[in-house]
Amino acid sequence: MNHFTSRFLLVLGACLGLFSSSCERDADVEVPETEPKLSLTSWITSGEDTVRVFLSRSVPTFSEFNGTIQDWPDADVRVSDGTNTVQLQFDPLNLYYVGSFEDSPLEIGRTYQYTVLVDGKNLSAATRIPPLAATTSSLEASYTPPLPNDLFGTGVINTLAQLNDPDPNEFNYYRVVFELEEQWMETSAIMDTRDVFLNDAELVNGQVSVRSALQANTFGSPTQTIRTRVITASREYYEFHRTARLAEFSDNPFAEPVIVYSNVIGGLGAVGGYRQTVTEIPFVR
Amino acid sequence: MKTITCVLIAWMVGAHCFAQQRFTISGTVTESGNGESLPGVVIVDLNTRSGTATNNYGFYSISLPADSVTLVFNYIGYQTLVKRFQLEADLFMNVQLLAEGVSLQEVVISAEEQRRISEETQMSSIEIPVDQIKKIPALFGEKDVLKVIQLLPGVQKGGEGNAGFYVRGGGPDQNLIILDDATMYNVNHLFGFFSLFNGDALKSVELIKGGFPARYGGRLSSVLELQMKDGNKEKIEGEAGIGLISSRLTLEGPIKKGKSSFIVSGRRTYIDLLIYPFLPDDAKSGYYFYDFNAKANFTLDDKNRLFVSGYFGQDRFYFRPETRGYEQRGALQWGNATATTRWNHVFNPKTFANLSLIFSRYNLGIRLEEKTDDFIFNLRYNSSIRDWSVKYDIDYRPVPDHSIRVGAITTLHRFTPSAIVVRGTDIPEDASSGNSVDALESGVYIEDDWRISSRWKANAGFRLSHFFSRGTHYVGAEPRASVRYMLDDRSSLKASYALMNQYLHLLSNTGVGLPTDLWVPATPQVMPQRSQQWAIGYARDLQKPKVTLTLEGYYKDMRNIIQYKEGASFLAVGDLSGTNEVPWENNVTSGRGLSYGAEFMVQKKSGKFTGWVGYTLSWTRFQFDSLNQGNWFFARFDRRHDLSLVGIYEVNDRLSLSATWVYGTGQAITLPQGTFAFWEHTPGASGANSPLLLNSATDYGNKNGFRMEPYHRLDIAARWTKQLERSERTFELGVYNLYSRWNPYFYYISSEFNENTSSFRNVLKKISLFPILPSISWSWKF
Repeated sequence: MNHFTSRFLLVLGACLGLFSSSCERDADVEVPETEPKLSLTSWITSGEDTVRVFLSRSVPTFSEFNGTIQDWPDADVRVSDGTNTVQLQFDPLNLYYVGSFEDSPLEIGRTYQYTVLVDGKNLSAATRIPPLAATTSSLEASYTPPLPNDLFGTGVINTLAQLNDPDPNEFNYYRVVFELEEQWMETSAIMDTRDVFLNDAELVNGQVSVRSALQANTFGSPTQTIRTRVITASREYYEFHRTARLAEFSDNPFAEPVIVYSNVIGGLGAVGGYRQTVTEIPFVR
Repeated sequence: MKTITCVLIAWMVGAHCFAQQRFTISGTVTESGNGESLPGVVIVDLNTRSGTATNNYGFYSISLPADSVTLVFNYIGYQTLVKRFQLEADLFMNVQLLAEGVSLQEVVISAEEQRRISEETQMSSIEIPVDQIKKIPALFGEKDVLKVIQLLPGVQKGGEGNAGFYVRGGGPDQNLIILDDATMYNVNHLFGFFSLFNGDALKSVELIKGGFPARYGGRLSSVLELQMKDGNKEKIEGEAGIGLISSRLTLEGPIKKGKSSFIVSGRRTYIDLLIYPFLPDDAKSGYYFYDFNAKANFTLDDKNRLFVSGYFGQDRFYFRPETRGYEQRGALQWGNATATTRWNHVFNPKTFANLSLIFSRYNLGIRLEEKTDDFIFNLRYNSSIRDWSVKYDIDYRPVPDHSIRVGAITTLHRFTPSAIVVRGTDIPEDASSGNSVDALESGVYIEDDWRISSRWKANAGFRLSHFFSRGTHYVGAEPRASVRYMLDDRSSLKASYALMNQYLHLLSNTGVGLPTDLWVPATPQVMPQRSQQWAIGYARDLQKPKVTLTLEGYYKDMRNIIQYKEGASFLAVGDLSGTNEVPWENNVTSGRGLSYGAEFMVQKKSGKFTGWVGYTLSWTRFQFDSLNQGNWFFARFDRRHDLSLVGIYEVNDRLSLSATWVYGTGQAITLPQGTFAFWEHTPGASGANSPLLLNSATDYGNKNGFRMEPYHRLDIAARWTKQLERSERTFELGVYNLYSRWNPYFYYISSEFNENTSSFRNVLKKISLFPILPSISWSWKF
C-alpha cells in the first residue's frame, strides 16, 4: 500500500519536476551564515576517573568543503565536579581531549560542568550521572528461521527484555541495546545490534517489555549469546542519541527534519551521564 | 440559580408584554425575476430606526409599533426598495428585489440606508459577492472561491497556486467549510491547485475569522459558509463555459413555475482526453477531475419550504499501460459527496425553524490490477470519513431588540482510515484488513443578537459540545460574545471573544492538501484541539467615496494542536484500531500555538470601481515539547506582512478590467546550516582508551528558522460581454503572474564541484511553478 502511495507520489513528483524543470534557478535569498559552529560531545559514567571530550567544528552547508574534519588542538577544556576542576589535554592520536579526576572518580548523582574556551568563544554544558541504574528482570529469545526463498538465509531472533524502573521518584530515560554475539572457536564477534530508546512514560507499574529483532544468518555459528545493555541515562544523553539516531535513518522527504538535541550553550553537541547494566543469555538456534 | 431563573422569566415576560403593543411584519426576500432567496438583506424602519436582516433562507421578521412604517430593504448588488404603509395588524409580506442594472418595474425610492459594516455586531467576517469572484483574475482562468478568500486580510495561502488557506494562524484543518449545511473535508482538486467549488452554482460566500456565533462549532479558526443557488423559479436559463483546462455547464429553471425550481451544474477537465491518444502504449495514463452540483427547492405553502441539494466530485489519476502479455491497471481517486435535505417551517411570524438531514463523505481509493496469462493480482485500498448529521435551528425574534437562535446538531462520524482487500493467484483466500471507528459529535447552542441601546449591541451565546469515541467522552463549554459600540452614525468599536473546541484532527505532512491527508478523531492520547480568541476592532462606513474601513487586532491561543513528530510521516501511519505496529497517535505530538496580529481592510462594494485593499501584520508561533527541543518556533505559514490589492473596473456595460497584486513575507522553513561530527557513545566499547565512534549529523538551527523569498505577483484580466437578443456572451482574457515573478515553490540544495580548489560548494536552488501564464475563456449565458 505504502509502496503504491510512494510510487504515486514519485510519479506526481516527477510530473511536477518535469513541469517545473524549466523554472529552476538559483534562490534569490541570503543563505544562512557561513561561520562554523563549535561542537562538543562527552559521555561520562560512575566509577571511571577519566573524562574524554570530542571537539569539532561544523562545516557550514553553504561553504566550500574538501572532505576533511578538522580537529581542534588548541582549546582550553575544563571539567569541574563542583570541588575539583580538571584541565583536559589534547590527544593527537585519538583526536580527543582527555583528563582524569585521579583522587575522586566520577560519582553518581553529581553534576559535572564543562567549559571550553577557544578562539575567544565559550562553550558550556552540564550533566549529571543518574543515581540508580535500571536492570532487566528477564530476557527471552526465540528464533524465526528464514523464509524458504530467502537466498541469504537471514533468520530473526526475537528478543524480549523486561525492564524495571530503578527510581519511581525520578523520571528516567533508557537506551536498551540488544546484541547478538557469535562464538567461533576462541573468538567472538558482535553480529548485530539494535537500539531501543524509551522513558518512564512508557512504563506501566514500573515495568516495561522491550522487544527487538536481531538478524541471524543461518550460515553463522549456532552458538550465540544474546546480551542487553541497559543504559540508564541523563536526559541529555538520551535526547542526543535518540535524535541523532532518528536523523541518521530519516530519509523520508515528507517527514519533518530531525533537529538533533543539544545541551551545549554556545554550540552544538551534548554532554551526558549514564549508567550501564548488562544481562546476557546463551542462545542456540 | 433561582436568581438566574427569575431574571430569565422576567425578561421573557417583559419581552412578551412589550411585544403585545406591536405588530410583526415577516416574509421572505427574493430576487425579482428568478425567485432566488436572498440572505443577509438589511431591513430598516426609518421611523423607529429598528432593523433586522434576512436569515440564510431569506426569511425576515420585524416587530414594530402600530404606526406609519417606512421599511427599507437593502442588499449589495440590488436596488434599494422602500415600502411605506400603515401597520395595523401582523403582516406577511414577501418582497422581491431587483438586481442592479435591471430596469425598474415598480416604484422604488432610493434611500440613504445602506448595509453598514459599522452597525453589525459580527466582526472578523467578510461576505464576498459571487459576481465579484467571477471577475477577479485566476490561474488558467478557473474562477475559484478559495483563491479569492486567500486575498482577504487574516487569510494566508499555503503555497504557489494552492487553494488551501490559513486563517489567523490556524491550519487548513481548522477551517469549517460548509456547503448547504454539509461539511466538506477535502476541498481541493488537483492537489490543491483548484478548489471544488463551482462559482456558477453558488449564491453566497461568507468567511468568519473570529467572534464566532454560537451556532458554529467544531473547528478552531474559521467558518466558510457557502450556499448553492436555489434555481430560477420563473424561467429556464443556463450558463456554459469553456476554459483552458475545463468546461462547465449550468442549467436552472422552474419545476412548477413560481413554486419550485432546480439547478444542476457540472464541470470537468479534459486534458487527459486530449493527450491520451498521443501517449505511448506503455505509458498510458491520465488525470481528470469533475464536480457536479444539484439542487431542488419546493415552496409547499407560505409556511413550508423544502430544499434538496447535493455535491458530487472526484479526482482520478489513472494508468493503464498496454504491454503484450501483461496487463496493468491502476488508479488513485478521491472525492467528496454530500447530500442535504432541509425543511423550513414558519411557526408564526416571529419563529422560523429549519431541520436539516445531512450526509457527507470524503473518500480516497486506490486500485491496482496486474494480469498475465498465469498470474492475477488485485489490490483495493480505501480510506474514508462519512458523516450523518441531524440539525435543527430555530430563529425567534420576540421583539426588535432581540434575535434569538437556538439549535442542536448531532453527527455520527465513521472513520475508515485504511481498508485493504487483496486477491490474487498466489493468495489462497482474499486477504483483507481495516476497521472503522465511529464517533458521535453533538452540540447545542443558544445565542441572542441584542440591541441594548442605540449605541450598544451585543451577540452573546453559549455552545455545549460533546464528543464520544472509543469509550471516551469529551464535553466542551464554549462561551461566545461580540459587542459593538457606535461612536457616531458611521463608525463603531467592536470586541469579541470565542472559545472553540475541535474534536477531529487532520494528519498532513505537507499542508498542501494531498488526498492522502487523513482525518482522525480525538482519542484519550490525542486530546481535542481548543482555542480562545480575543479580537477588538474599529469599523467605519465612509460616505464619499462609499467604502468601508475595518481595522482589527486579534490574539488567539490554541491548545492541543498536533503535528507529526520529527522524522515521522503519513507513510508510517498505522490504523486507528491499533492493530498495526505504529498507531497514528505515536507519530504525532501535541502542542500549543499562539497567533496575534492586526488586519486592515478598505473595501468598495458598489460603483464602477470595486475592490479592496487588505493588509495583515501577524505572528504565529508554536511550541511542542517534542519538536525543536521544546523551544517556540514560527509556523511554516507565519507571515509577517501580507498585502492584497484587488480592483475591478467596469469600463462600460460591455467591458470590465480587473487586477490583483499580492505580496507576502516568505514562508518559514527549516534549512540545513551545517554538518558536524560528534562522538556517539558505544555501550559495548571496552575501557577508557577505546577509540571513539565518530558520526555526523546535520545542524538545522532553529526549526523553521529560515525565510523563503517574499511572494508577490500581479494578475490581470479583461472581460468583454456582449448582450445578444436572448443571451449573453462573455469572453475573458487573463494573465497570471504578469511580470513573471519567480516565486519559489520549494528549495533544494545542489552540490557543485570547484576544480580549482578541489572542493565542493552547496548552492541553494529554487523551483518555481508558474511563470507568466496567459489564459482565455469563453462563457455563454442563456
